[in-house]
Amino acid sequence: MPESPEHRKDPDCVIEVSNLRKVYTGKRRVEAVKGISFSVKRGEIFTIVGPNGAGKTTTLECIEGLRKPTSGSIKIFGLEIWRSTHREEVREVKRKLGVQLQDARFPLRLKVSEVVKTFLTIYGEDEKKCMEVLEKVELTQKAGFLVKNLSGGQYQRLRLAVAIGHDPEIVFLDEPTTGLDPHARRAIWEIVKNLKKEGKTVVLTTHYMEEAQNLSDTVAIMNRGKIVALDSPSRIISSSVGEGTLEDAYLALTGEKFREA
Amino acid sequence: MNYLKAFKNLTLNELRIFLRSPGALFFALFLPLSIAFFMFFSSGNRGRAGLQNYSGGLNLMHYVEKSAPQELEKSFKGVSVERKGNEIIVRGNDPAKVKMVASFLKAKLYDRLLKEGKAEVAVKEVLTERAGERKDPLAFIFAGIVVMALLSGGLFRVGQTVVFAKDGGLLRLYAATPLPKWLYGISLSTSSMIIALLQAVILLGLGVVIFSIDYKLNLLVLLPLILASLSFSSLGFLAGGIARTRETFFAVINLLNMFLLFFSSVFYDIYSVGGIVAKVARIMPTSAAADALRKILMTGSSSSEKFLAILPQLGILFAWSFLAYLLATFTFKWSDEV
Repeated sequence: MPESPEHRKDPDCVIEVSNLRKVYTGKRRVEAVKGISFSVKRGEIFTIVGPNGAGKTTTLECIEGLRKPTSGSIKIFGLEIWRSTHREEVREVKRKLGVQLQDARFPLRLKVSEVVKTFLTIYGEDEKKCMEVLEKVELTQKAGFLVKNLSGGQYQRLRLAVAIGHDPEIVFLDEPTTGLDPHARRAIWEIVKNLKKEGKTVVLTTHYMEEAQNLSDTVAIMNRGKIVALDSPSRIISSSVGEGTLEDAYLALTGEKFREA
Repeated sequence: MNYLKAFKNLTLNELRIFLRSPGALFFALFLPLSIAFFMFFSSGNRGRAGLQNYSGGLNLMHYVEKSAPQELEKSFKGVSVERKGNEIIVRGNDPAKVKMVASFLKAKLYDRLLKEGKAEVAVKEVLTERAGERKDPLAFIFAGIVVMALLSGGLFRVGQTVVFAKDGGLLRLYAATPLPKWLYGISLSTSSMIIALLQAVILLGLGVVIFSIDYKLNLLVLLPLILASLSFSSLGFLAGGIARTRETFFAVINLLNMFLLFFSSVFYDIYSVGGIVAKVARIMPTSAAADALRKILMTGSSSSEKFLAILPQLGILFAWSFLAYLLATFTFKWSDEV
């Protein structure tokens, strides 16, 4: 399926994924990602959607450098991150990435400001930027709070603060709004929109079609390890269901109205 | 990347977490102290009083100087010096026997070590160490309790931090950053070392004040404390890095803890067993730490003599720290795959 060779020739591409395949071996062999290709342009919001087990988190984690692809290539800013033998170059690329993981938990007995300062210095930034970063995610009031005293929405914003604090060029957000109430979800959307305004590239995964439709420039719909649609939300809707919502298109393309969670 | 600032923050974070955690404080200070109180009230005082008359409390060096080696050498002909010496010193409470073995050891050791210029130090080391541990069992045990506290701190605190961070996805988040593995390991070891030093200073201070232990406090004590703490934290880092789940980690770490604690001279004189057990126990980091602490705290020789006496133990501790840290950094993974 849909590859985007025109993207790959574009010099403005910041991420190029070619024939990415990931197989989990072990007791049960699972081919989570089955040879997908796509590219992400500078400054766009690129969203990967799909049902549970579709391979979206695996894809994201391969790009983030957390899972080793079985085959295929991933280039970020032109650097083959899994094949490069130059550790410093890879570190330099990593410095330009901001990562928010859906399940990362910070030590409960650290204060919000201490967590942010730590990550700022890990990225080589001045820890004095801490309050400025917290302001971006509207957490300044909670700077002195212990992590364990944060609500779900505040915790998610702290994860965002850690991902965007060092002013990265590409931000990866893995299901940033899962489990949040509508207010908290809207607050995260605002932050993502602001990132786009600042010229950042955002790659996110989500289960919420409304979120994908509202935020994204490009959407990749994944199902069973493959990309079944790759385009702007409006084009995906028009080409698959004519009119309606992205959710209608998603259900039509994944071929299943009901799945086991 | 400014590694120094990241190192500072990662280290400070571990210290903050420790100080804000009542459970960690309890295990670091109150648990070792309660063991000491238990030893003190259950047998310490009685043991102490009884030992005032024990021959081991006699000044063995006095006998070394005064006795006639040739006479004793005949009676021990063909018997291993170490074996006979241990046997008599450990079992005997007869001053005559102590005198015999002291002289015998002196004669033998002089023969062997004179050329190396280490005879005096070696004889003193063998005899004063034994004399010291007989003189005050609480002093002997308390040094062991300090080592036990350092061991638990290093193994469990560092290992647990790693395995919990792995379980909580924090290590995967670190993997996505430019943070090098070695820097993470060093910051964990450093915070553990700072905690261990504070812990040891407080425990030793309380030992002197509360239990009136006659320790000869000396700054040299910092050397084995630092190296021991680094060895134990590196082992914790290694175990935490290898273990995939909390369950595996706790199974591995408990076994390691038991082995290092009981297959060593931490709580008793394991060397009296002799043979391969004594040889293996001697190279355990726990034994090296406990022996070095006792040599510094329980003998009255000068600092330079003490330093020379603990050099083998420092070497053992350094080797453990270095090798365990190297192995830990080499095998450490942020997640299953990277």
